[in-house]
Amino acid sequence: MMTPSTDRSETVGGFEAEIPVTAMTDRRSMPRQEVQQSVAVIPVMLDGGPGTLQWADANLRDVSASGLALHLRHESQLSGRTLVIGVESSSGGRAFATLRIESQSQAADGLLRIGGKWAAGSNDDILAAEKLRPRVDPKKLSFVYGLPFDTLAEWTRLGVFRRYLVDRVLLCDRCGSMPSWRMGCHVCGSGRIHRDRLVHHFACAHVDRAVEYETAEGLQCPKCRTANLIVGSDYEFIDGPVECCDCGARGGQPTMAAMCHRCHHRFSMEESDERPLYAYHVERLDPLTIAR
Amino acid sequence: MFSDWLAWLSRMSTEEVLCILAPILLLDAPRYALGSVAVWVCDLVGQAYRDLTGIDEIRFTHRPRCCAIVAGLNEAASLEQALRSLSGSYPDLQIVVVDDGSTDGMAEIACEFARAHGETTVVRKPTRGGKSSALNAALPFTDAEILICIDSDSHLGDNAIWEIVQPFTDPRVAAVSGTVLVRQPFVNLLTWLQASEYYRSIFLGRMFTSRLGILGIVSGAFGAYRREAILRVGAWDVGPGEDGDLTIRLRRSGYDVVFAPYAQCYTNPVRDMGRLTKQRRRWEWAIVTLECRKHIEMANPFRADFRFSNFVMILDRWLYSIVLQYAFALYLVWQVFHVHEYTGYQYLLMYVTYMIMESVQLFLLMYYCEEKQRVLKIGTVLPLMPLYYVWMRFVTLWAVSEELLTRRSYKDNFVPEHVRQVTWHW
Repeated sequence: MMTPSTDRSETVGGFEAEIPVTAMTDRRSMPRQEVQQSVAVIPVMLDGGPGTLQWADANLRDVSASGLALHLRHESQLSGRTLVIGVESSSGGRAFATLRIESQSQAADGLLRIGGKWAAGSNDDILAAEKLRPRVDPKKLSFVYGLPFDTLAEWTRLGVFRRYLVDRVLLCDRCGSMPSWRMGCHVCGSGRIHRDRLVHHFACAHVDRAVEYETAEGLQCPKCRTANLIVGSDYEFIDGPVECCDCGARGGQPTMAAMCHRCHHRFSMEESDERPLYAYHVERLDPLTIAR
Repeated sequence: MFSDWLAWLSRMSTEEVLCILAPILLLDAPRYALGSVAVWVCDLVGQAYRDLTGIDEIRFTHRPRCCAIVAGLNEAASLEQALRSLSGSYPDLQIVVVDDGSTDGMAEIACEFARAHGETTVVRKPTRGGKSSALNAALPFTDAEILICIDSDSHLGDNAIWEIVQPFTDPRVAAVSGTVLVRQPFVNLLTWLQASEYYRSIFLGRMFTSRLGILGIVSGAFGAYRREAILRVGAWDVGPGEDGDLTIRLRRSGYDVVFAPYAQCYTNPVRDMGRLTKQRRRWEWAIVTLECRKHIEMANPFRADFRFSNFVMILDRWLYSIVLQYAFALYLVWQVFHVHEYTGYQYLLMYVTYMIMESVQLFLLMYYCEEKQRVLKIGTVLPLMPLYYVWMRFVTLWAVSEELLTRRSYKDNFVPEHVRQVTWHW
C-alpha cells in the first residue's frame, strides 16, 4: 500500500493542491501520481449547465485511474455533484473529464478540498458520447440530445464541446417534427396511391390498362381482338399512370412527399424545413495522461 | 450556247413549245404552282372583302385543354430544347414525354425537367417498341381534349400551339397538321435544299391540299389530334407511315383533316445524302403500304364509308407518287432512244419552266411567310431545286418499286424486329 507524502505540498499560482487527508481505500489501492498541471475546473450545475470557470495551475496529487483529489481556493462548497476537469493535452488542445464529487471540505486556509471519482460510464458523466449525439425521440418525433440544447450551447461557448455537422434533415414546416417520407401523390402528397399496369400489344401497337385485356378466355387485345396473348412474344407490361385514392389526381410518377404524423400535414420536399443536424464532440481526458 | 438556245426557241411555234412542256404544264404546274396561285387569289379576295367590310379576323378564340406528347428514342441531346419551347407556351399545357427504351439518358433528362415543371409526366417504356407504341403509351396518362405530337428533336415557333388548336372549333376536324420547317438550313447544301423543299411542299403544298379538302398527312414532327377521334379509330398502328395511316383512318371515319400554316415547328434536317435517301424511301414506302394496300378500299365508291374527297386524295397519291414517277422513268428511257441535236435545248426549256414555277412559289412564300428575310435567303438555292426534285423522283421510283415488289418496309429497323415479326404485313 502506497502512502501519500505530506511533505510535498506546494502553492502554484495562488491555488494549492494537496493530497487529501480523507482515506479513500479503493483509490489508494491503485497507483497514484503527483503532478503539477494547469487545470480547468468547471462545476456542473444542477441543470447540467456550466458554473463559473476556475482555471489555474495546480499541483495535482493523488491522480489515479479512478479519481482525483484537488484543492481549490474557493470560499464555499460547490452545490453540484460533479465537476468537469480540463487539462491541456499534448496536442495543444484541451481534454476534459467529469469528476463526481465524493467529498468536499472547506479548510481554514480558504482552500476547498475536493475528492472525487471519474464519472466516465456513469449517468453523472455529462461528457458521455450518447448525450452529445442527436437521437430520435419517438414520442416527440424529433431529434433530442442528452442535455438541453441551450446547455449544450453554453458548454460549446466555453470551449468544452465542439459542434460539428452530422447531417441535414427535412422537418415539418408547421410543427418541426420529423415526418415520414414516401412516394406519394404529386398533387396532394397522399401515400394512398394506386399504379395501373399497362399492356403494350406489339402487333397493333395498342397500349391500354391490363384489365382492359382480361377476358374469361385469357388476354385479348381490345383493339385488334387477337386472343391468347403471350407475355414477351405478344405483349409487354409498362408502368401506367398513378392514381391517388384521396384526390383522384393522375400522373406519370409519384413524387417524394412527406407526412407529418404529429400535425397530419402533407408537404413536398420543397416545402419542408431543412435544418442542419449537429452533434457535439469533446476531447476526452485520459487520467493517466496527467500522470505521464 | 444561250443565244443558240434562244434562237432555237424563237424558231419553235407555240404549239411545239407547248407540246414539249405538256407533261409539266398539265401535271406539275397545276399541282404545285397554279394551285398555290389559286389559293393566293382566294386569300387576296378574302382580305379585300374583310378590308372593305371592316371585319377583323380574330386569331385565337379557342382554348381547349391540350397535352403535348413528346415521344423519342435516344434524343437526350435535343429533348430539353423541345421541352423548353413547350413549357409555358399555352395555358395549362400538360406535357407527356415518352422514352421508347432509350439508352442515352433521355428519360433522366425528362425526369429532371419534370421535377422543375409539375405539368410534365415521364413515361418509360422498358424496351423499344416503335414510335406508334410510344405515342399510344402516352394516351392513358392524359385526358386532355387535344393531343399535340411533337418530335423530340424539334422545337416550336411562336404561338404554335395556339395556332394549331384553332381549327378544332369545328367539331368535324379531328386532326390538324402544323408546318414543319428546317431548324438549321445552312449547315450544308443538302440542308439548304431541304429547307427550301419544306417551305414549298409543306407550307404551300398543304395549304393547297387543305383548301381542297384532300389533305392526307399530318406530320409526325408536329400535328394535333382530337383525343376522342383517335381513340375511336384505335390510335396509332405500327409504322412506318404511322402518321399518314392515322390521318387516313380519321378521314375514312368521316372526320376532316386541315392545315394550320402558322403553327410552325422547326426540326433538324438530315445532313447527308445516304440518310436523306433512306428517310425519303421510308416516306414513299408508306404510300404503297397505305394507299395501295391497307386503305385501297377508299377508292371503292360502293363502300358505306366512301367519300369523294378521300377518293381524290388517293387518286392524287396514285398519280403523283406512283404513276408519274414511272412515266418519268419511261420518258427518260424513250429519250435515250430518241436523242437528237436539240435534246439539250428541250431540257433547258424544261429547266427554265421549272425555274419560273419555283419563282412563282417563292413569291407566294414571300407573301405568306412572316420571316421574309429567312425565306428569301433560303430561296437563293432556287436554281438547284429542279435538280434536287429530279433526284427525289429517282428515290421515289426506287422506294415505290421495292415496296411494291418486296414489301421492303417490313424489313426496315424503324420498327423493332420483335414488333415487325408479329404485326400485319399489308
